[in-house]
Amino acid sequence: MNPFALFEDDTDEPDEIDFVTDTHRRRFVALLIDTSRSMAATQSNGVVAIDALNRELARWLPTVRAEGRGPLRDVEFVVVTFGAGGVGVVSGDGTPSAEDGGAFVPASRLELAPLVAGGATPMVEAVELALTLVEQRRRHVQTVHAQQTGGPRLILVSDGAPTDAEGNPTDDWRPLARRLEQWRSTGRMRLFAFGVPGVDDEVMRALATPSGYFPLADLDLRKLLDLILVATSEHVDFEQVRSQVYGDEFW
Amino acid sequence: MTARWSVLAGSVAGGAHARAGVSGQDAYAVREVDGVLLLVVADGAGGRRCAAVGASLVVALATQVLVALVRDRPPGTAVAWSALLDAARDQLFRRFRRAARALARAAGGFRPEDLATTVTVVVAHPPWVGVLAVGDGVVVVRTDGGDLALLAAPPDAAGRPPGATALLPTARAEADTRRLVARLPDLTGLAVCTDGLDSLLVEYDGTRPSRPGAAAFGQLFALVEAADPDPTALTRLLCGRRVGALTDDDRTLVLAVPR
Repeated sequence: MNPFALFEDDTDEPDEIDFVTDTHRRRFVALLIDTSRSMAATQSNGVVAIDALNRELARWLPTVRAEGRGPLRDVEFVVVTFGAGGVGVVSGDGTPSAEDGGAFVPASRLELAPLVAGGATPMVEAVELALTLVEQRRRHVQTVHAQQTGGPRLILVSDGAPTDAEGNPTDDWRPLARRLEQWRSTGRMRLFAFGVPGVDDEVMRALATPSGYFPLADLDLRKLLDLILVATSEHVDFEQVRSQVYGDEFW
Repeated sequence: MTARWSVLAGSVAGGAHARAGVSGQDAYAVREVDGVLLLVVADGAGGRRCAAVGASLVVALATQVLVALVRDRPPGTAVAWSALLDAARDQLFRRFRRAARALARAAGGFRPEDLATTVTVVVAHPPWVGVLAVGDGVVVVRTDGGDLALLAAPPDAAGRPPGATALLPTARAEADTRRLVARLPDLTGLAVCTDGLDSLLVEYDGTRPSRPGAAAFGQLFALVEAADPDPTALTRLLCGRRVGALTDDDRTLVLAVPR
């Protein structure tokens, strides 16, 4: 079910009200996807994980674009992958630019080419890039376009542990965790992290805090993408995502 | 005593809360005491564990405090109104903080800050209108001829962290509270809303709120001024598809017109 379709049956509204509709508070959502070599592995069902992800993304993207004309109309996405080819922007024009026409695209125009798996897991570098880009974009929109902006959101998906570019384990996530905590303490961003089997739980908890980290029991990519859509919504908090992930029995 | 005000109010959970199967985090109250109208609206902070409780608590306390202060004799001068609002602010901060600490102690597992909420209070006794606001609530007044003004505007977005606003119980009583007194002999309408509706009801000049949306408020006030107002009209409107497509936040709106 499309989780944004709850209001569609509502037809009994009072007379038309001419609301102000040209006010935008743009929000920036950075989606960070692990495309390291583990995603090239074959799953138990015989399907290569990255192929399954690409197939589910093809199903998911039209939903995002449709919501981009409704509830997500103020959302701009930047999508960063870390794995094959290192860290790279795969949304917009594919460059790490916060200028108009660069890495950020409105949800209504989000398109992604098929992702390729391979290489190491430079997660820290990817998060650093995403933080830089959302902050640059926020300043650009506020200063150049004089528009309101909402709190940026980072959504991190990984099935591994951070490495450097050569694939060596790294402790660089520790200072990153401290930097993220500073951002959080000043209300400058919110990080949702989803861990699929194989992920380093300690790292993800350190980066996202235990509240913002959601370990998943299996690599259910369809569910994962639906959760990402929920986490993109402006007024969803960690507890609501947790309820979606684990159900009411969690409480 | 015959009521001197006609009021319509509605409060609806945003799409995000509805999808997650939880209630909204806004709260409101309307009271009329000897012709003095009291409107209180609160918006529990998203992401805080007990924000809905905080919003309900601050609405209850603000109502209690203001009813006691205006019951005997509403002020008749701007100075007296300012003094009344200062007293209300101090009592409200003190009582909310005390209640939040007591709740946290009694229930355990959360901190007073988890009850974080905004609050917007409007006290009207024409020609006087007083506003006390912590956070980003919006107050609009209408005067003769349909002229509209933002008595309490949403904050300018420039130069502040996105989404940041003052919240009880951590707000500073004087520095973070907006206190306004207006003398409006030709007052014909009042509206109070939470920030979930500001982008639909307020026009912006870039990041700066400039004026209330004239068409929207004209039509909204007409709902209250109808010969036989439909008490569900506002709730149905806020639940509706059009509002749902424009905002995902909890939304609360209270409209009042003198009879």
